[in-house]
Amino acid sequence: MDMTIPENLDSLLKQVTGFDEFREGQEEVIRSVICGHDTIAVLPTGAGKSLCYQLPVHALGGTVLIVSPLLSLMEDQVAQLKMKGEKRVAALNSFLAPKERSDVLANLGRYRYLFISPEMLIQPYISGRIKQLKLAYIVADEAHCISQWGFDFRPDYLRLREWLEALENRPPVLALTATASEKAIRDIADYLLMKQPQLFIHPPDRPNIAMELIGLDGREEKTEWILENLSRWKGPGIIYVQSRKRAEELADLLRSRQISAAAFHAGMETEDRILVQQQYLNGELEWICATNAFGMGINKPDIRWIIHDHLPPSAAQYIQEIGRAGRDGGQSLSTLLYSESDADTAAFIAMDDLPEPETVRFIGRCAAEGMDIAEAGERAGLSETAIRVVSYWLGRLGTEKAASQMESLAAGKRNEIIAMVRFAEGRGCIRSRAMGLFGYSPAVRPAHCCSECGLEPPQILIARTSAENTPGLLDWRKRISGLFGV
Amino acid sequence: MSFDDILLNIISRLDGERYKHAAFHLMKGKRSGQTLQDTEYYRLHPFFGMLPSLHANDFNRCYQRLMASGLIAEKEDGTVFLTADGRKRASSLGPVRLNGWVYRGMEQVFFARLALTIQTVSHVSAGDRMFMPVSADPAVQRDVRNLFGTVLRGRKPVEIALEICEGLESTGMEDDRLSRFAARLTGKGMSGMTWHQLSGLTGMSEMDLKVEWVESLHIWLDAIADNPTPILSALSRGVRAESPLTDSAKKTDELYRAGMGMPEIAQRRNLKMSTIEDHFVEIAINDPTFPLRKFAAPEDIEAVRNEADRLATRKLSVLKKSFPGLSYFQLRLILARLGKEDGQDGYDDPGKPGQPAKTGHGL
Ligand SMILES: [Zn+2]
Repeated sequence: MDMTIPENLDSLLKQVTGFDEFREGQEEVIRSVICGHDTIAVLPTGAGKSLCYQLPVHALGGTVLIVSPLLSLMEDQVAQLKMKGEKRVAALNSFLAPKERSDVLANLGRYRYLFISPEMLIQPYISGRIKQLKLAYIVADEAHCISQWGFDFRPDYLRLREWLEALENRPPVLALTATASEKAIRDIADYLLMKQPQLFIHPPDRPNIAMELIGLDGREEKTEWILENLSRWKGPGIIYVQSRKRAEELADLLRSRQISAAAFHAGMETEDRILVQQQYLNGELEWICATNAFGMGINKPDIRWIIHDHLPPSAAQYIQEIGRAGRDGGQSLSTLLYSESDADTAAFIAMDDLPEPETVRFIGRCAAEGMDIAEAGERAGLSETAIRVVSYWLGRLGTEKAASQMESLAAGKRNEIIAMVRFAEGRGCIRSRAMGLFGYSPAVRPAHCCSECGLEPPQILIARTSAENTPGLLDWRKRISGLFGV
Repeated sequence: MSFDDILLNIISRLDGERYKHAAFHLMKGKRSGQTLQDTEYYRLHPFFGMLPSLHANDFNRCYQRLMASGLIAEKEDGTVFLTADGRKRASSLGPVRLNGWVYRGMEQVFFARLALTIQTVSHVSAGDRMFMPVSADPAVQRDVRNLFGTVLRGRKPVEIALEICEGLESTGMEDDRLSRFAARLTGKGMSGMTWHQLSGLTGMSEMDLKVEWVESLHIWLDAIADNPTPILSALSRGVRAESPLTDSAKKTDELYRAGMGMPEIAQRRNLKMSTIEDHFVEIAINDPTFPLRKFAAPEDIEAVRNEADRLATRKLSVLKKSFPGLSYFQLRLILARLGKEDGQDGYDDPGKPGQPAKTGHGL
């Protein structure tokens, strides 16, 4: 099989996508999947990860089951496949109305791509139906979420392991992720019961993104820095902030300087969030001030500048966020604004979601007395995510072990933050040290490497020449005519 | 009408007998026995479910504003009433043109279909088939796909634009208001504005803009129902509540009509008895043929009615003191049929507080 496939891959690519060439890293992964190997692929954001799971099924036939823990991302991928004209695609998640769900289930065998959320997968009826399908392979998307060490660990995702365990003839599994430390890769292989997985790792280094690290003294200085520099240089860009309030504050300040900007955070209505994304994609908005709720499904190729207004709580999150810049290959910049007090805030926020061992014991006692875990969690004042985490570990380990599990999770998060603080406070090539956080070293040193190697903003950024005019309220008849192009 | 004025209007109808939560649950359209009962007693139908995603913080800010400006005040027990200033202000307000009871938040589905339809036509007629839909709701996407296979098939953009413009024109809403409405629509190279952006541009608060938008949708949907045109009728299909009952109460009603008793229904539906009681109150409110006498003796019904009239109250706690022998459930059922004993049913048109108007006049 190995012998015949290589010749076919180019023509398969041409036939399915119309492209002549694979992008770096794609072909090996696709070949490994077609050959039936369990595969882990770590490809940087924007490297064309989705093709890796979309192409092999065209050679193999049957259905691909794509397990995706992030609902917004799932919706996005379904939408993109549909836009490309793929009709045999469906998603099973909690967004579906009962009627739509039964429609999908009634046509289950018809789909080429079936996206599913982990909590749907373990529902007995759905699980039973899926086991009857001819599965070409199973994809674990955003596989870093499976690792308890990652910044968006989803306990539900771990249930995929139990589901795989119960399969009689397990098809090959492809785990895809943008970033993963060695530890996370071990977790992925372990949790997905992979047998000697083929490992394809492309370091998350993006030579076209220059890296800048700026030490400042507190929030006011950061605000000043942002206002001064954004008045001189143009985006489009994203400022990652830590709170909704900060997102709104910065967006308002930028607007007051005639720089078009909007806040984006989970507290906004869905409709407004979509509108902000539209405006940004359309170039009607230059800057987004966002909490980490933004960017997951955004595919804007010409983002020139990512600014972190705070220290990201993990290297994985940092690299993933700056990776949203320069997907068109154009020269871009990422700036981390760091002040000493950031470490405490980062720790506070990261730990906020993690229940204390004492709380776990309390919930364990409540559960023993027959109370619902969700209700006990609410009483203890835990967030929904935290309740999910506790519920998962309580069910698996019992109260005492679950409590100490929380301690080791907290220690893991603390270590990640400490690593980021060392990174932010350290000296020497930023790119080398950032890659070092993942155990790699950069393959090349680009001309515009980092602020330690020497950076000249004028060579990277485009100067702002004139202020933007904010359009007024358009007469409704003119607006509707304009929308219809009549 | 501003959000503050809407809340003032609601409180004027609650008549000093309810807490602020009653107004909050009403605007959110909570399907509980208490809220449905309040809606009926105090003729609050226009406001029911007008803001399904209303945030408690926004509500509280508005409530505090009304308190601080001396338009409303709370009694010792926390119930809220209008001050003399508040009454003056309330009687000077224009008519409410909301129709919450009929649309119950479904006006947003109409808008989502409209917005996605416009976006689709806008992109497709510009030769662009790949765009990010303004509505992520799969049901809305499916509805719009169906429309393009049926009523919109073969229609030119100019025809669709014309029907929409003429429809909006016929509502008599003023131009500035319609421009604020249209600013939320998206098309090729022209994205809709967020509430925050629209607020910055117009100087109106986000809450006032949202309330105006919901009211505009109700006005438009009412107009479409009166004078249907092909595309707009198709876009508004199913947004009017067919039955005044919530789905769950409807199921209880069906089982009751099939001859089941309350405990049996509770068991069969695996619901708490208190939920089934809520359903019965809801049914009693809406069904002129509800057999009240199966639940309370005729002389008790009569006595409760007289006492409620004498004390001019509909407060359960007050009536319970006069009739310790009757259960809360019985009292609620009797109150549910209050004022309808002579076959009077239905509710008044949305109008001024205390004086129902036939229809709101042009704005
Ligand atoms: Zn460097």
